[in-house]
Amino acid sequence: MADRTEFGDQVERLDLALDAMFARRDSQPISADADVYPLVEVGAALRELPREGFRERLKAELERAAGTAVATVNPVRKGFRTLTPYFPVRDVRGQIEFMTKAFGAAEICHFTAPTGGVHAEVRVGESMVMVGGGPEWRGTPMPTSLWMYVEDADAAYERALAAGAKTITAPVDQPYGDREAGVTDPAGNQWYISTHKGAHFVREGMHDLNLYLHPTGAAGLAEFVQKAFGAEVIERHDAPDGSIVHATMRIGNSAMGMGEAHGVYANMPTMIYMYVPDVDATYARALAAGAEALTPVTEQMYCDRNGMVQDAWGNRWYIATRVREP
Amino acid sequence: MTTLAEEDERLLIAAAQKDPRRFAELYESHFQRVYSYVARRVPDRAAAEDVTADVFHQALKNLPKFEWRGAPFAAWLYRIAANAIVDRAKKVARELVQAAVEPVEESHDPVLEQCEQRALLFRMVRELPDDQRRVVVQRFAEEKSVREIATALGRSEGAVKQLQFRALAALRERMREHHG
Repeated sequence: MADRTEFGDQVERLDLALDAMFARRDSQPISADADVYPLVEVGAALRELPREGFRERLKAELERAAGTAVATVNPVRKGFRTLTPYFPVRDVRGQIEFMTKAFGAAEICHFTAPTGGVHAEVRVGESMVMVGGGPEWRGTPMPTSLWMYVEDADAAYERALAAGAKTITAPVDQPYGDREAGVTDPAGNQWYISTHKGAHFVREGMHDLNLYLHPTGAAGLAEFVQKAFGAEVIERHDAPDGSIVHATMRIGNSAMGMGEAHGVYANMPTMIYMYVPDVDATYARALAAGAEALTPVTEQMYCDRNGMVQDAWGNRWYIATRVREP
Repeated sequence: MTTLAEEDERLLIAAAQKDPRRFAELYESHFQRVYSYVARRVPDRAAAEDVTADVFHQALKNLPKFEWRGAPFAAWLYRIAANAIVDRAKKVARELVQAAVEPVEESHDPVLEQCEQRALLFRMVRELPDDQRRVVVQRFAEEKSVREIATALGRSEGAVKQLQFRALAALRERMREHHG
């Protein structure tokens, strides 16, 4: 009974001390009897206890905001399409100069990293090209081949030669409705320069600048891009031995040509910057389809999350998703 | 501590940077300490809630810029909170912030230590038996009188005072156990 009374007394004294504490604006504990003082201290700390409901309310608010944030970032960077050719070259300036003189390209941006590496982005017609490397860069240049549509293939061909390109084929009317020429630029990139003889100078389903790969074993690469990147075959013409003479594939909103390596169009492993909706998923699918991981998927300060894989034909795919806007 | 292990947190941050919808998990594990940090300097409860909300909204927005350079995520949040408190103080110029707000860099800062303690205490409140927890929340977070709480819960004032006593005693005991 004595214990109960003592307990009741403590309960009362604690409550009085707490009332006195609430009467003060600051959160410092006030004086109290030694036996209840430690509890008043706890009470003082609890004055900062968040209100019930606030935590959940804010959480719901943040979830809504996060949902909106997800919805507003387009996974493909503005101005780009699924596929962008990437030219790793030593002479970045020279490459840009060539494209400017020959094809009226315009440099959009140019960065030099502290290590001396250069990255530039160039608009050619309605398409983008990335150029990287520079004199300090220790990598291996990877020239590639491009399939380009221009309003006047003859004029562009002449300008390309004047800008330092070497001819592969002079302009000629092809049975498939394109007037087409071929040149190699000073860095070794090959350009199919075409004008489509139709309603528009760009062949339907193509963009004005498209990649064209000449792998050794194109049928295998076609299978790889279907498995890894969900590519669709738009058209495909096979030789009697089953090798691909010419195929057009669609990956995302880009088109890409490919044909078995032959003659001057030898296998040239290419670097490609590719925007996809979910970089991690595509990266994993590429590895599952047999690609080799070169750099892991990482979020970059330039707002892309990307990683690089190399396919069995030596092509390097920078797989990227735009995750925020600067 | 119930905070996530560093490596888990690293992964959680990477996931949230990729998909902001994952931010809720970070929010859950840091809510108490941020609220506590803010509440110490912004005594008005509604204002403390506004500032806390502001801190987490900013954190969500700037999460992609967060880089793990040895500084824990909590320190980053404290820094955002410090700035948010200063911003608010500038707006409410007449009202001086309780403590000078220094940039938050060091994890052994005694103020931050205290915030961690408070955060721990608040988590323990969530683990109290229901009737004790309700009394604590209404009494301390909502600043209701014992009489108001008694009416709200349909208990006698004496019963509410006893629940209050038992709850504080239990919290005191758990904090002591926690510190060994």
